[in-house]
Amino acid sequence: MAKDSPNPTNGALAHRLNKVGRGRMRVGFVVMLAFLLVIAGKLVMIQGLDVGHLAEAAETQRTVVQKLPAVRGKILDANGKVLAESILRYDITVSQVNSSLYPEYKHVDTASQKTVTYTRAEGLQQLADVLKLPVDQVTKAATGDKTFNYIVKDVSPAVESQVAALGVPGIYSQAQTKRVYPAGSVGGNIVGFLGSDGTPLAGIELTMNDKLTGKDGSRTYQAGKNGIIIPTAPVRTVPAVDGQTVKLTMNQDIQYYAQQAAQEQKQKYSAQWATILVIEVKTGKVVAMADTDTVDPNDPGKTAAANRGARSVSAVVEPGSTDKIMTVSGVMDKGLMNPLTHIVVPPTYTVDGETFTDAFPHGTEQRTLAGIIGQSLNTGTVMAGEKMTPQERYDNMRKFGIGQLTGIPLPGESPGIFATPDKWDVRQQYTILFGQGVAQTPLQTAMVYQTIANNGVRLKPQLIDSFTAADGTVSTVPQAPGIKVISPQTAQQDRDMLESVATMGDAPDVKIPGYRVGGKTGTAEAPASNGGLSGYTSSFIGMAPMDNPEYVVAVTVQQPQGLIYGVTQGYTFNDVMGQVLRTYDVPPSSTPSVKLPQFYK
Amino acid sequence: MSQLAFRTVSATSGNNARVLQGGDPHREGGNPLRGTAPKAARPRTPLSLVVSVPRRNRTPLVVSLFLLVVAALSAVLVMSVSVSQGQYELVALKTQQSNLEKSNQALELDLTARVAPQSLVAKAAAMGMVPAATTGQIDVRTKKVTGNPQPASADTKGLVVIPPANMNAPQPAAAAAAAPGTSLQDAAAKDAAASRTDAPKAVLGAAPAAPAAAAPDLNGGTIPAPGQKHS
Repeated sequence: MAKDSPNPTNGALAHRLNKVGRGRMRVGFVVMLAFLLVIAGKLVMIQGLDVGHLAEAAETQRTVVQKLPAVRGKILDANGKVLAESILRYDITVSQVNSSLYPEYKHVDTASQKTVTYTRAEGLQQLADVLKLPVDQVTKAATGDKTFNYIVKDVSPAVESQVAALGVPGIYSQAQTKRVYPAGSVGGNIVGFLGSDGTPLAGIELTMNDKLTGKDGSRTYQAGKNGIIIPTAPVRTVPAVDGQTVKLTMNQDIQYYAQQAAQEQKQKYSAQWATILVIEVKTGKVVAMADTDTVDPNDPGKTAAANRGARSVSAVVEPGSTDKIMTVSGVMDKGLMNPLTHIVVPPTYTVDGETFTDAFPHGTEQRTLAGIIGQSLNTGTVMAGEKMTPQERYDNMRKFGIGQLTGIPLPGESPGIFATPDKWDVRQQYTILFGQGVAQTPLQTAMVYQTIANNGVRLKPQLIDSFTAADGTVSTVPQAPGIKVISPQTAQQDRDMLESVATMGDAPDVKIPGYRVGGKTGTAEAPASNGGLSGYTSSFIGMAPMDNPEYVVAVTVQQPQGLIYGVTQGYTFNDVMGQVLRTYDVPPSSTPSVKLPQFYK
Repeated sequence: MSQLAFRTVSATSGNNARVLQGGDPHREGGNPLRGTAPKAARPRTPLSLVVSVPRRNRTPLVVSLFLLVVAALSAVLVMSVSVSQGQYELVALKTQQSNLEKSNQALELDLTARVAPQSLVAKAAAMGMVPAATTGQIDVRTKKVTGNPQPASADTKGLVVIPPANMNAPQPAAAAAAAPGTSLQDAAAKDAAASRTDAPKAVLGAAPAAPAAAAPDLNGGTIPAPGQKHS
């Protein structure tokens, strides 16, 4: 009311005061404006210019990049049974520092919703109970000043969730994928295994690693502090592409039976090792590839390194008499002889100063070519085979695949040892005719019989049936074109002679009721570890049914102990071949057996 | 006032009342001021009804606007609540999915272990089955039996036993309990001891304890089944 006051002095004072007030107001205004400017400037700097990249930093803090791990493909047998797969496992870990920070902790019981206080010792006791470990061990692992230590590795998700439910401070879990092999050692030699760091070390795991390995994906999203995804923020997902499933041609049941049979032979004869191969004649598919003392891929360390692979492709042995069929094939295919060609076989046969004898003593005999194969005479085989030049002998065996890799997708395949004719010594040019002086893998020898069974067409052994991509598309592995080795007529003559081995020759124990079978025995000297020769390699390779051969079974036993001519692989062949024929419902033979005369008058 | 009337009234400025005339016969007796007012006085503009521009009733508009705002706000609220609710649900479902995947994985693994040849052989042996020593074939068309089938005798021995898979799994006790067909377990329980000795070292420090704790599930066999059951 100073304005209305009649007092002039009062009016002046008020005026002055008013002026002061106005000045103060101005100052205040300026100060506030300055603040506003600072704030606005900061705002522009943060929002508009982003000095110090704060927005970026904030986004980085919110952004979570999650790896979506690709799952390694499975390995299946021919019937889709799982041989190898990857599963989720957990490692239980501890931060010793964090663990010691909580001598006591509260835990809400999920069932009763009650809060209970436990001491650290009680918590570790509970943990030990869940993990089924002694409490001392858990306490020892959890005590110290490390920030990271394992309590136990490789527990199942069920155990991990129990551990998580305990809520013991300082105890954590880490997810791991683990490769498991439910069939264990059945097919372990083919399937192979991974190292502890996940690198493939053997078998299909190694050779098909590119197909089995998937491509990791990622998920990028923004999450609040509680881990809940901010719904409006963008989510970028690059999906993981799982590895392909590899389906083998191997039949788990036959493989199991063959492994049993091989192991049986090994034990029976205290042999060094044994292998059994089962090949499907018309496709070259490997139905079984059995080894003795096969590795369990779940724990390869328990198996001696030498037993971890597939000897059928890596072991190089002298085949012995099973190679004689190649010699007579060559001679017959050139039209020089037929199964009933007459040959006078002396007790010993000397050529180029080299004398050859037979496994059993005999006088001079009037034999047919079939009779030479039937009784597996070295003398007669040399007499027949020398009708070919050394180069022809070499070419003949090369055509059967000797000295060449079969191309089966297993690591460590050996091409065998087969020198060119110019490197042969005088004796070797004859010994190769009956399977000595040449070394082959059991698979190579089996494929010779596949060729004869398949009307003279040699196929590439096939171990992989198909690949199934993560999206379900199946790509079947096509059969590689075969190589014509001998004419169908020669192949038929070979088969008749092989059947006569069982019906008329030296393998009368080879028989499967209802089926016509044929095959050839083989005995060769085995190389000793010191470089010389010690012991024998005993084998039998046969096929059935002879009217339309569908399967070849090859049994090889290395260094059987005892009298070598008492050793027979015939019964094992019968068992395995019988099992194969029954499994695949092969109709019994409807035609009479072939019995070629072994002698002539 | 009707809408029509409102339109017919023209807007005026200033005085629009009629000017009174002196000798108005109608007003003669009735005007009490007549006597007092000087004759020379200006004639007064008489009062008349002024037509006012009517106010529109704005209540519905305000109410509807308010409702719109409330509706918009609540829509935003509901959406935001439902979106975040959806996120929580998503997280819960994801957890459920991963739990189901885990248990599915455990069950599948259990199944594959049970169909492994070793475990089938063990089960068959426990049920008293023996391998057939001889087999025959029946030709349905000719009604002929080929081969020389003989009844199997109980003392026929099978071939050597291939050890089961050693899958190293420490104790999926829950999965074992859930799995069927454990009734045959006891039959071969005494053979369990053998398997226990070659039970895997459950890696690292766990080694000594784990095997003892696990009761091997033999699936009724004479040999331990492929064993993710024992640790």
